[in-house]
Amino acid sequence: MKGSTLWYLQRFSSVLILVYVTYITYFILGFEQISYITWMQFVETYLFKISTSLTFLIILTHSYIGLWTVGTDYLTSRTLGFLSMNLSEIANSSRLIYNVFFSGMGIILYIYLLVLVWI
Amino acid sequence: MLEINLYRYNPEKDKFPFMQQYQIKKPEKDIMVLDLLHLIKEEDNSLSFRRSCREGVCGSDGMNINGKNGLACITPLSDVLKGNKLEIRPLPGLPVIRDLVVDMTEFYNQYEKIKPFLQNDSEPPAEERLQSPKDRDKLDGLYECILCACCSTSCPSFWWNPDKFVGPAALLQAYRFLADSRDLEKDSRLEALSDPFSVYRCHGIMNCVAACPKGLNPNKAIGEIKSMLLKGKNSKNLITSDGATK
Repeated sequence: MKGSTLWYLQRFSSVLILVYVTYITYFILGFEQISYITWMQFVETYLFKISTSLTFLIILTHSYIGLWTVGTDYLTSRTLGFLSMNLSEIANSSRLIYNVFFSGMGIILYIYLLVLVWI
Repeated sequence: MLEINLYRYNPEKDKFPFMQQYQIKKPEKDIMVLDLLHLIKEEDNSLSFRRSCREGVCGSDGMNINGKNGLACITPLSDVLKGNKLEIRPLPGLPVIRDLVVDMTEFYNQYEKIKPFLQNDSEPPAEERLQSPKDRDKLDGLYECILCACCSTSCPSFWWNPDKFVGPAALLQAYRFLADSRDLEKDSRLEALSDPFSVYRCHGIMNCVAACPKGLNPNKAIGEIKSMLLKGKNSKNLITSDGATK
């Protein structure tokens, strides 16, 4: 993937997350007092369900790019070599575990969110 | 007396690098850091450092002086002394050959990668390829780089990925040729920089700007390259050989 594509993905996803936060804030501030019923009515709307599901996907994309960048900066044989040669030798496998861990966590959280929102 | 701490490492003798302290009588006049190193070398001729022109042109004596990269030959002692103490280390992030001498191979590899020469395969004119004064002005602040590596070795992105991230010095030169109206290979130059590492590992922390002893702004050049990459090929930002934009 090209650097420009990743750059655009990160910037546009930030803007879309801001739009979602504004939408939620607007709803919360629009009521003097939020009751259980008004809240349930709000979260039962298709607009909320679809926007939340999409926004969480966007957050995952945004986070993945950020965490991948962090991993390829700090979990390399060179960077870990500054600390110890032993760590340097396991840099690639450490980065793989790190990638699998945050990707797996992202998928599990997303499935959990879909269950919460839709079921 | 001045208390000078110098990074010492001779791989033929030392298992690990260490800091060696020297006591030097404070000079009556303000001298440059390079002069101070020469004073120390008169006492201890085992000390190694690079120097050549001693006037900030050759870029040989880049080093880390009290935590900031700079050229020893144009850095006055009075500017960098903290109390009466001074600590001098080699440029960070590059392998040390001996004492203050670093292996610049990775730095030059990146410089080579950006093809730092004019590429124009059109029919050459009888005398020379002319440029309008306006086009020539676009190269100011770009061509003056002396490749001392003070900027690239102050950049954490270059420390972490010196084989993938081109680094501020080479990117400044990349933009010097992208901005040159006589160069016809802008698309291929941009294509070579389009991966996620070459340019986009710059996060704009501006250490390069703070470190450049010539007062150049690699960060601005990197921003211009990013704009060109984001606009894509044949963008309005690309300058044609006749100086016009297309």
